[in-house]
Amino acid sequence: MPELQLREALRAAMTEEMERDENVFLLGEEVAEYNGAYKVSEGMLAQFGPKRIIDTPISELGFSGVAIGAALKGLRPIVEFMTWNFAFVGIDQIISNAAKIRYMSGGQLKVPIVFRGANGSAGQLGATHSTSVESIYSVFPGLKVISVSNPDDAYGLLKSSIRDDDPVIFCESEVMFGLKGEVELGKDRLIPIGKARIGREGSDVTLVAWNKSYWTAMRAAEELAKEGISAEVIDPRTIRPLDIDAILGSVAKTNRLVIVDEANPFASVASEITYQVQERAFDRLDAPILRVTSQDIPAPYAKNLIEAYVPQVHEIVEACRSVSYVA
Amino acid sequence: MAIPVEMPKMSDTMVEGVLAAWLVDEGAKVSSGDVIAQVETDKATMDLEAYDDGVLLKKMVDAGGSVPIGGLIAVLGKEGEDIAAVLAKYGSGDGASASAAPAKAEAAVMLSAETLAAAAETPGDPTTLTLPADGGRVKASPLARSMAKEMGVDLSAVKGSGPEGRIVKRDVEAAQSAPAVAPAPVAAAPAPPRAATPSEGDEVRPNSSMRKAIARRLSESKFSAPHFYLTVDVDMEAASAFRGDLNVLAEKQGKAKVSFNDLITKACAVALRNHPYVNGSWSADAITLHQDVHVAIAVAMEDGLITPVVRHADRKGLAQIAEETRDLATRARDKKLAPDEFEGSTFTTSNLGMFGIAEFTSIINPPNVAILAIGAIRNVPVVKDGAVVPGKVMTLTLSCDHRVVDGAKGAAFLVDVQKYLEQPLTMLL
Amino acid sequence: MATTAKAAKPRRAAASDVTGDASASPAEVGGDGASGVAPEGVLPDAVREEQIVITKTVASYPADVYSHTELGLSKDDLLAMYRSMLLQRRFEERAAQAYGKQKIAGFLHLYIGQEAVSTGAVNAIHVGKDSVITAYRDHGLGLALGMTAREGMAEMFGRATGSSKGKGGSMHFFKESVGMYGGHGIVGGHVPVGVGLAFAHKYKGDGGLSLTFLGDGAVGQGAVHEALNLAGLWDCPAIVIIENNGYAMGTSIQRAFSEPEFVRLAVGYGIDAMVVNGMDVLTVTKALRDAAVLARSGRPVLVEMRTYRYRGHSMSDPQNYRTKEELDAKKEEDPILRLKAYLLEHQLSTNEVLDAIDEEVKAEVLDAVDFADNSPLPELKDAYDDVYVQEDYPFLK
Repeated sequence: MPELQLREALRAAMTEEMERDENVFLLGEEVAEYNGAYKVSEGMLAQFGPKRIIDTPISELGFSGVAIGAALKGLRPIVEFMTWNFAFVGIDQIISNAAKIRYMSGGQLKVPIVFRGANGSAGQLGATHSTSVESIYSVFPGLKVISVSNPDDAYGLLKSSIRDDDPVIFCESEVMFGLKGEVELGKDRLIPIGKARIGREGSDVTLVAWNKSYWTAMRAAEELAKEGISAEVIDPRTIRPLDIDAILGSVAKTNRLVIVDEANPFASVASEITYQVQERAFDRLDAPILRVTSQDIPAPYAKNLIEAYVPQVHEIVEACRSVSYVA
Repeated sequence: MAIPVEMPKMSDTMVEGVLAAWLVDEGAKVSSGDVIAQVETDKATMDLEAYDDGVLLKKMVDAGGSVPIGGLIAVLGKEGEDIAAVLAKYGSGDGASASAAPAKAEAAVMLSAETLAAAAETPGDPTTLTLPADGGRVKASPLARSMAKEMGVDLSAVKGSGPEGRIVKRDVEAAQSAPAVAPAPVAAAPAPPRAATPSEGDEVRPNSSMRKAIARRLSESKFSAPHFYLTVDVDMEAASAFRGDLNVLAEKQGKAKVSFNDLITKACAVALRNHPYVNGSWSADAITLHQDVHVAIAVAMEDGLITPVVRHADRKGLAQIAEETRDLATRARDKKLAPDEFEGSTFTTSNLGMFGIAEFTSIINPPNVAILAIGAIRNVPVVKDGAVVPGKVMTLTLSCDHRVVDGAKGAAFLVDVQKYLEQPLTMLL
Repeated sequence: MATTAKAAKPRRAAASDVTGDASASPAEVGGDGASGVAPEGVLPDAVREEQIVITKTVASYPADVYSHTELGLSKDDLLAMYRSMLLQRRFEERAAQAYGKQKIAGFLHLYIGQEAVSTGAVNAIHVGKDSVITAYRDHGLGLALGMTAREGMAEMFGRATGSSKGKGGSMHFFKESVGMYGGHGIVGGHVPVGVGLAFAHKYKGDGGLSLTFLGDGAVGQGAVHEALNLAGLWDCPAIVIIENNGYAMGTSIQRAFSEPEFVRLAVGYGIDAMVVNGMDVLTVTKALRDAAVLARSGRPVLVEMRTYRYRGHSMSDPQNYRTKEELDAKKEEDPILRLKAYLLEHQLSTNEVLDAIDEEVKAEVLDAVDFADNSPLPELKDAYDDVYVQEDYPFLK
């Protein structure tokens, strides 16, 4: 299997789907002539031309809405946000239009669109450039939300998202664009939306983590193994709809759950998973469910502060020890 | 047929309207769209329009009167038309009260100011709730509860090892092997092997956390560390004399008396310096050879045992070892040891000599890789220089974890211990 | 400094002749004593109008100047337009009554008075091929495009037989087969979507265009301006129509906008613009046909449609912000009465024929009310349909 960077995997997925379907096109800031702010779309203008690889002005509200209108007419736009933070000025388009038009029209219309971009903290970028948005968009019926941790999932899930007839929020990460991994390429290599992946098998505690926090969780699992605590790491990959069955299956085995979520803690995806697990697996729990999230503050700038802000390996290790009743 | 004019709903939140003013007299002609009256709602004063053409036959409410939504305000129709049928449909001539009923059913689902006020007065406002006292409740994790139910374990007899005494999975598992008085349900699934069923008169003592810790740690050690055993006899004649001389000195200097066990601790500690593997510990990835020598000594307690540690025993004098050991043992029996006084050993000894036990084998105390079992000093005939003479002999048995300590390494260590004890002065060098 | 800058803005009285007092004269604007004349020395003489070259056209379309013959409309066409406007009017009158009876709930925003805009617009496009989108004052446009009174009324009654199966309501009329893309509730939020519909027509090369209607109040939303910029930047076949009825809910445009002559906005986006008297259906037809020609050639057009809303913003609006006299004066310009007068004046019809049309329309609307009232409510189990295209979506229940 070839080894690709995450950005290359995303590009491969978009390129193949654009070759397959004339109605697929990409728009966003700097996607065409600049070759992509993070070089995800590098070379795509040369291949597909300016009709299908479209530079936009800095106008997230405007071009999100235009893309939604285009989707109503049967086109399949891919909207690239340089980062998800910038989508906030256009969030009404995603929430009031992309998510709801199908319902308001009584099923007459559909909005086959993918909004994708970098998500979460990427170092010392300050408060407004460091938001994890999964929980924000997962609130809304009508949307699907995906957050990927590796090139193979990015490839297979982006292809599925482009082919999906419902609007998809697709979360990547600046710091992972260069992450390399084996990718199983294939014209119809689709990873189903809504299916989790077990990243590491274990028997003592279940760790749920996604996007770049998945890797923090994997490092914590290694640490825990040295102490004789065997952690199972589950990457849900899709946040909405959530593969809760995969999580429940693991908790049935381990009786313990720790969730790692890079969002701020209040009303986070971690909160929702906690609710669903306690509701459906109460009698399987040997300890309270714990979560490790970013701190309950805006993302700080200073190096030591931002490092302490996002979920840390030692925090995850401690949470796992705690639910395992190991001092 | 005459046409009823009803009080319309003029805002989202309106429940009733006050007819503020009539703009048209009875008998006047009105067309669809004409404003016939003004109505005060909860939000504003609004125009009331006719939706049909005709003559205003009758006003059903005077200016200032209040009418619920759907209530009859007026009747339109052709000049001279009989309005009895309309009035009958809305009950009596009194629009304000009679027509309230039909509107009510639909209005009931709307939140009104009254229902909101009523809700606010409802007792049990969650913000004023305080949690009831928690006394006597058995705290157990949800899993522990369901396991206990399935296994027929009485949770009230189980001591919890979790935070605030919470009973968790491991506690129920431990309790299962010493079943409580409640018999297991007949329909229980094939159960793992159990201890003999207690019969009448048997005393069932729930396990203390110390018992559980001993059970867990020693079974883990016995079942995961491959043990082998080395035994040696030590001639304790010289050690006996040495100890006698030492204690004469100690008495003069007001120091603690040295026991045989102290001598053995010292001998082991000095020997361990030269045998790093015996002073090591095991993990899947690596063997750690500890720099420092910390010798633990098993101390019996009423309901178990504990292993206080003489730290840096190799660097301490016999008097100091004696003193510390005495102190640790006393406080161990009183359960007054701090965790760092019974954790962190690199080697352990266990002595049953005082009970007259000649020899025995011990289970290694993890994370150590060896333990020395010390038997009684026996007066036996020994052969010295070709002659049978009375002698003092002690049997030492070393249990080794083969993952770290191979036979030769264990033997070399044990022989060194033997040498130090048979020529006690050498251990002081 | 802010006052100075505002006063220094060049203002022209253009287009004020189109609908008389519906447009503000420059002197009225500002309200804080700014005279519209730059204080001395602030606006240098060097900045002269002749140095500013405006390449796009600003056309104006007044009322009562276009004849049906020059527009190529037959007598039957005019009668159909008359019927359509009446249907919209009677439909909404009954809707208002049904709201009063609590048959319709939530919000109800009436279009009464603005029917010439919807009807003229539909005359100017290819229904079904082109795309139309509007805000929440959407009944008139839906009916003009060919939605039936029955499906519209049933939707407002919240019935399973409604155009959106009772899931949309008054603000959300959709009918894809006639190119009706809603019916949207967030002021201004649908305008980029409207430009997106045009974008799709261009992308597909199907010769279609989009009409995007918005109220004057929406002009304050950033979404509108971003959409106009993208329409101009990407040469979308988009006609963006501001239905300027003079009031953003209860706030007159003079109190809400630094530049209340919306047609001027087009200059900022480099697109064609027109200002149209929206009280004359023939004028609207003419203007939007011209706009369609431009749009289909890849030139988006901003249309300011001067019109008037006879009813309150919504059913709970007491309309204290305008006088009875103003309202009555405007009713003289009623587009339905205007077309009726035109038909009689040109001897294209008679009072009897026109009354008969009215009776027919009234019957159609009453039938729609009956139909709606007797239609079943949506079934609870169907509430989860139409959220996703995916049929087995695992909802949390």
